[in-house]
Amino acid sequence: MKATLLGTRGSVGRAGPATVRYGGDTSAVEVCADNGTVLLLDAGSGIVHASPAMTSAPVHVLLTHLHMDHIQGLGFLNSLFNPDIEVHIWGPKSSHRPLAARLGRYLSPPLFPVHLRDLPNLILHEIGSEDFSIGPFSVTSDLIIHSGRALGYRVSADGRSLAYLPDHEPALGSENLVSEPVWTSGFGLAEGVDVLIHDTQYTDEEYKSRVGWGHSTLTHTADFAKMAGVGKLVMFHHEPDHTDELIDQLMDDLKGDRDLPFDLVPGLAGATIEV
Amino acid sequence: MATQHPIELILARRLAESMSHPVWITDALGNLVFYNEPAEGILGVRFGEAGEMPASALAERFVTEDLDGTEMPASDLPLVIALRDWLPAHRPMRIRSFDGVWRVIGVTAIPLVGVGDRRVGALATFWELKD
Repeated sequence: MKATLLGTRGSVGRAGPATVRYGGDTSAVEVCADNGTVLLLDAGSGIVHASPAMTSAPVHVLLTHLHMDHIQGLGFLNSLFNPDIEVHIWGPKSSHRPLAARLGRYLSPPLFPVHLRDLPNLILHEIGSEDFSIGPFSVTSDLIIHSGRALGYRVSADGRSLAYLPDHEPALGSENLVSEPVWTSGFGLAEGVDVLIHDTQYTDEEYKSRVGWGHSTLTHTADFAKMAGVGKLVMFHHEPDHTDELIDQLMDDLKGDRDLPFDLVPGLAGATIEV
Repeated sequence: MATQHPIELILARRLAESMSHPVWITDALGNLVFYNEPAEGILGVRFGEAGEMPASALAERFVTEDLDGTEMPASDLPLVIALRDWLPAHRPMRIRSFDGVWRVIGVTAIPLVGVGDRRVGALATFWELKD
């Protein structure tokens, strides 16, 4: 299994000379099983870099939540407009409005020229905390702490496992993040995975004024990854104002400060990670 | 490794930890999973010492009575109602806590029901009633 980071930026795209290596596109990851089956995790602007769909093979997009930086690329996924390709979109269920209605707020005029209902072969799946299979992939979804309702995913295939928690604030209101795994949001998804792709949006200083905004610092995430016993931690959902230089510095500082029990992977745009 | 609690219970605990009034949280089976620091004053022991407790053990540790001193069946307890009927419940009562002291308290319990009617537990807040 491999994971390719199609879009790594959080909140809003930020293309420019200062973000060339870590990238300017928003959240999207392509996961490919050894037999070639593909899953797309989130549909930020990075989804335009997804591999072309195999003829007639269904396309599966797993949305963590419906903030714009995670769905804004959806309307630009070519498979959506091909009547010969089934596109399955999996997203968080709500007690009040169906997924179609919530996605339709964006995929309809005046924000988008095409109505969701006019897409030719779209199948929606509303999910909460559950286990399901897609081809060779075993998937677990669970609600995690973020502003609004958000899911994290654990994806297993070929004897390997990956957890994807791009927007996550497990430290919210907690003084014991490290010592109480069963009371830590996302722990069940991340425990023992080979690769954890996780929110590392803020510096410690930035977090002080952004508590409750639904994101983590690199140090929070390092604590979480250590507690979960992951093999690799991939930095993800970079703060729009963070330059390549600053993200490199944050990573170097963490490595200098701590003896990390996992491989810290920088989360570069377009990088492919062997799970 | 024990199983992670549902996110609704985790958030309830985060809220309870930041409250200045007593809060008690159970899982869907009625097992005690947490009470906060203000609750320790009424219950008579720190949560760190008492720890999580199965529902079956709670009846042995607490004695409850109506205000007139008559025995109160467990089925009338607000938390039991919240978990049985998945509706809020309230009543005043007398309670003998971990420390053996009788106190008169008011209890309001609310069920914790997540998205998709996921029933994860209940939360009770309580306070000592003065004359």
